[in-house]
Amino acid sequence: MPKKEDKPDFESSLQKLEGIVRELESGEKGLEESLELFEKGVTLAKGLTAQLEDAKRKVEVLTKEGGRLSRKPLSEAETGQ
Amino acid sequence: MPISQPPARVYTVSQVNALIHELLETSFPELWVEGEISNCRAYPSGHTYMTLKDEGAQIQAVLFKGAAYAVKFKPQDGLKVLVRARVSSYVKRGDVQLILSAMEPREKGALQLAFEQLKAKLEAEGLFAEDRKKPLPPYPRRVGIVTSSQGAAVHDMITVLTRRWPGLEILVYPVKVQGDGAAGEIAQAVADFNAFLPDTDVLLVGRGGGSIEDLWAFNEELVARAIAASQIPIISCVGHETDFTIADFVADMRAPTPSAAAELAVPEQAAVLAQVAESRRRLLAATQERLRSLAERLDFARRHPFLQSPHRMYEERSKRVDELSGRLPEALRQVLLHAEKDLRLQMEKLDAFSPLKVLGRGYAIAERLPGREILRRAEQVRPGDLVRVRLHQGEIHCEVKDAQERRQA
Repeated sequence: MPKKEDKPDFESSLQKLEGIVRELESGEKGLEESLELFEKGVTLAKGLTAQLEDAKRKVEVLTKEGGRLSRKPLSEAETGQ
Repeated sequence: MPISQPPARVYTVSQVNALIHELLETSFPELWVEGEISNCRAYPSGHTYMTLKDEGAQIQAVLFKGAAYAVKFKPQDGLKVLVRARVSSYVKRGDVQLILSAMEPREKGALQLAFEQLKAKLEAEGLFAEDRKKPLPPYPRRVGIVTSSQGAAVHDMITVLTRRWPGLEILVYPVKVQGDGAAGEIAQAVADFNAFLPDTDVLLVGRGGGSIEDLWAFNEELVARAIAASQIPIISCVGHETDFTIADFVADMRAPTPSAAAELAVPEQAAVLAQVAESRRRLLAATQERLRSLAERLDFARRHPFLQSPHRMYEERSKRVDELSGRLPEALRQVLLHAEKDLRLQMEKLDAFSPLKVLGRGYAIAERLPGREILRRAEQVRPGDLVRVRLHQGEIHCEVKDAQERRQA
């Protein structure tokens, strides 16, 4: 089940971004390194925002047939609402 | 005593027991009987044998498997119960016994008792321990829902989940949440998520409100065991705020309602977006500040006298060397002077401990003659004894007139 690896993990990206901000704020990095961090940070922030905004909800119903689970999209009628 | 007349009819033991059995079975209506359970034994066959007693008497009773199924709690010694029973006998032994068709505890509800019994059992096994609880992932991607496809609960959960965290993958596993077989379906669904979809980040297991009977499946051992065995963190949400079920105790987190479970499962997207935006703002500010401070340092360095006229640096250094060389001989002299003074001081200290020095300060040494025994106490001498006193310079010979020990304080 390699599903978790196929796009960057939101949590670790967010942690990375926060780490970069802290590093830059400490003011200990040289010019080149600071600019590199800045670029990395901006890319991460963009990616995170995109992940949040582009995401579409996906609701599926599981049914078990012959010892296997199959999925099909949920139609509103099925929730009884 | 011999039997005087031959009997009209002789029965076998089996016949007597059969007669008793028939008599008992046909002459009693079904009875409600109240009593306390003792000597209770449950067999793997599913039958439970016990004695029912009160202060004055006792009777054997049996709860057969078919009837035991309907009794939710476990019959235990000391429990006061009300039973529905028919009176019968065990033919092989001729014992009278009650055959129970229903049983309920006398002092509390049957379900309440069953709840307490299971809770105590699982708690003793450590299934509720805090250190068993798995942390919930802060940003789940996939949430599983185990509940009825009917009713408001599933709708509420999906609504809250997608409103707070729109990019979520939600998998609904519809199950019966009440009635026969509900516990089995719930337990199976939890097990299936773990077996087939182990990368599900969190499971919401529950249902909307209802009576204690409606919620009962979530108090069944089967469900508790499935939740305890789950590798996927589970938030339980059964009924309303005030309803506590066994599932709630075993779950990694309990939510008071299905909607609340959805809120606990995912963060609010708007808040996280704001957090990312804030990081971005700080990133920009920190970079600008860094550039500004680097530029300032560069500017400062450029305006420094050394950079303006580099030869001054050499002049400064050379002047400093000259100055230090001039001060060197005097510094050395000071060091030697100091050392000499120090040495003198040490020698004086040493001298002070010489015994002759002590006499010099006015002390004297007294010896009794002729033995030259050094005197430390008055009682070492008597009147008339001769004593020699050694002074710093010279000595005196004396005769003791009186000797008194002065008590030391």
